Amino acid sequence: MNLIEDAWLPVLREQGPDKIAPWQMVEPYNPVLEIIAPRPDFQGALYQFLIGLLQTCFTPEDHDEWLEYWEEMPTVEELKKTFEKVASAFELDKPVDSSFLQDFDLKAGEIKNIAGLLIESPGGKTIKDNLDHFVKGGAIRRVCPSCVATALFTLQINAPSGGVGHRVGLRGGGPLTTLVMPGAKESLWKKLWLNVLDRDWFETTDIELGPGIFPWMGPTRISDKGGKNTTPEDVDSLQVYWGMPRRIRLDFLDAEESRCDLCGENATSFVEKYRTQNYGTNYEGAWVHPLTPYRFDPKKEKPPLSLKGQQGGLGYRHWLGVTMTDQSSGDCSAKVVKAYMEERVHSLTGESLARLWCFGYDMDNMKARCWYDHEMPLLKLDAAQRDNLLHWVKELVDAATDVSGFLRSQLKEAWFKRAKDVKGDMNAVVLEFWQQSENDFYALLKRFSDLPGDQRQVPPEIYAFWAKTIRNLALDLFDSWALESPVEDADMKRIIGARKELAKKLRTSKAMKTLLNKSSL
Amino acid sequence: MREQEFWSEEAKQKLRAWFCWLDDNRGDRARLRRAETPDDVVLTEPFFNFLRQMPESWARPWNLPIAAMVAAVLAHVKKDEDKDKKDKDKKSFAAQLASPKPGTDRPCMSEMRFQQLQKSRTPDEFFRRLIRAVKLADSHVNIISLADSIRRWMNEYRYGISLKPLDRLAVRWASDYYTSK
Repeated sequence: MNLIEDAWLPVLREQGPDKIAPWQMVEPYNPVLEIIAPRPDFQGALYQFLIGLLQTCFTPEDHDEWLEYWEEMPTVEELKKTFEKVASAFELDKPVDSSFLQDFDLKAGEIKNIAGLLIESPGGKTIKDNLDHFVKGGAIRRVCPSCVATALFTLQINAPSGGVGHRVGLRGGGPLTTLVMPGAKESLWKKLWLNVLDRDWFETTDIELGPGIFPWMGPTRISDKGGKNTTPEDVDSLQVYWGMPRRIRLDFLDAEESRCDLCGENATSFVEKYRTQNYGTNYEGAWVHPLTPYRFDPKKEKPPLSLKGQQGGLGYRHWLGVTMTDQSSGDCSAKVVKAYMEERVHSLTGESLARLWCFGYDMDNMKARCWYDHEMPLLKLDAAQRDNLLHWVKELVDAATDVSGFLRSQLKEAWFKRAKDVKGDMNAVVLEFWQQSENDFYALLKRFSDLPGDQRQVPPEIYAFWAKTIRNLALDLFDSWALESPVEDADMKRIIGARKELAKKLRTSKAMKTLLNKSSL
Repeated sequence: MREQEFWSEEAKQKLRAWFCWLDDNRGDRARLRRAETPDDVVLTEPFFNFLRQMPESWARPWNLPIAAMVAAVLAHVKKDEDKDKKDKDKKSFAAQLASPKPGTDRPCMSEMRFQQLQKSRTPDEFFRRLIRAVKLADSHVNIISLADSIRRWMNEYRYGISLKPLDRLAVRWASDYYTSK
């Protein structure tokens, strides 16, 4: 199968589901609206596959060219011709030649079941020890070429650390990906195009088909003892989209027509096993992926750190970090977000504001704790407004962070006799706090964005509203968590004491006092 | 009995008036005090006198058990605490149970007993413990708050507890009791 020429991408067209080759996404008749992958992590991966493909072959020269293709998508012939240039790099199942995202010349290697490509699947030791309680082993035995290509790509872009020498992805293990999504119902083309950068934002030269961009087209840059690391200086900048930290070779076999264990569709070719070896490409240095937010060292000494999926989920407390660039703290949104916020949004007048789709694994080393998928609003702001907003939003989020901390600690006091000694995950409580205050927060953001840039003061009622909202929410949540159980089982003295303390802290904490002072100006 | 109905100025005044009237009608008070369960008072003349002096709604069939318990418990109260203060300045019944016994620093009703009172399973059990509580408070209590507690307890007993914790009697009581000190 060739991933450029064959129809393998599961999509939804206006008139129903279909499988297409990448260039078909611009077919004018019965337009393609959305990708419909069988799993959420595949969904994110297929988006990144197509964005990477467009960025590699079809980078617009400048903002104006980007706009032209936004207004009118390229023709089928145009796109097909440009993708065909790289078709030879996208063979999936050539046993000898270079194959897509597979090691160039892997001779030996450990043989594994195909389920091992899936990030959440239990590892060998877990199954041997009979500890696969929640995610069972053995459910996925054979996978069709379309799914295996996606699974392989998903693993290579998200790769967590997987034991000695099993390298992490180019953005680290389980990176957060942020994609700009149109605010209104749009074609797949527009959803992808919002995430393709023009040459002013992403420098590329004419592409040269080879291991510089596609690492599987030549011998792997081995990273064992005496091997080497791979920095942005060593290879082409486009390799960010095609990183290959794991050395893998798929074994295809022909079979009678039967169902794929992942997508449930019939196929005649399957993969049940793959071979893998450690010490693949080891990405080091100042790699910056255009679809991921980073934290830069303000002193510019350490390499930038990608944001990862977080325990406790994503919420509006991350809004600043993933949508804005704060020079002082070094928080920097993904390049595609920056391009939208600083340039594109001002050209796309009259269109509804885009939203930010954030997703990624929350990894605990090689164990997948959770998959997060979250949407946040983006705003149209000029430079002065952005400065103001950075400052204001920080105050609101700081206060909410304080309050969520009080809620957590006082609930612990209410629940346990010796709260200080109790360990355990209280994230459910805090998560609920963040989720329930989210709508109010975004409503305030909208009001902020309507204020002119030369207004440095926030109207006091906004502070008053926010102080009241998070205070009442904390008390309500405390009551429902601490007092909803039957009173007979509860130590009311401890609970009432903790509630009183919570109410006091909500009045006297520094961040809350700041809010309250500003709300009475 | 609903909240507004109970807390109307008219109802409160009538309840206080009946309570004073009781001082001059010792026979009624004695007969109410002899009741072992709230049911004992329902068919008696003193209870009839009580209902006559209260708003009409108290005599509705579904309110009768509450009215009976209020009359029978209040008969044990000697003095309406802080009669002249405004409602919001008064200590609630539960807070009064936590106020220290004269000459000691221990509450009039111990935590242990207080928890038992809350855990009552039937109206009769609640009734007995409540009278005990009144006596421990030296028979000086906030009668409006006491009557309201009875009303809330009976409503929760019959209809279940509210979804909002702060509307529940046990939580209100605990909150008053433990923060009054």
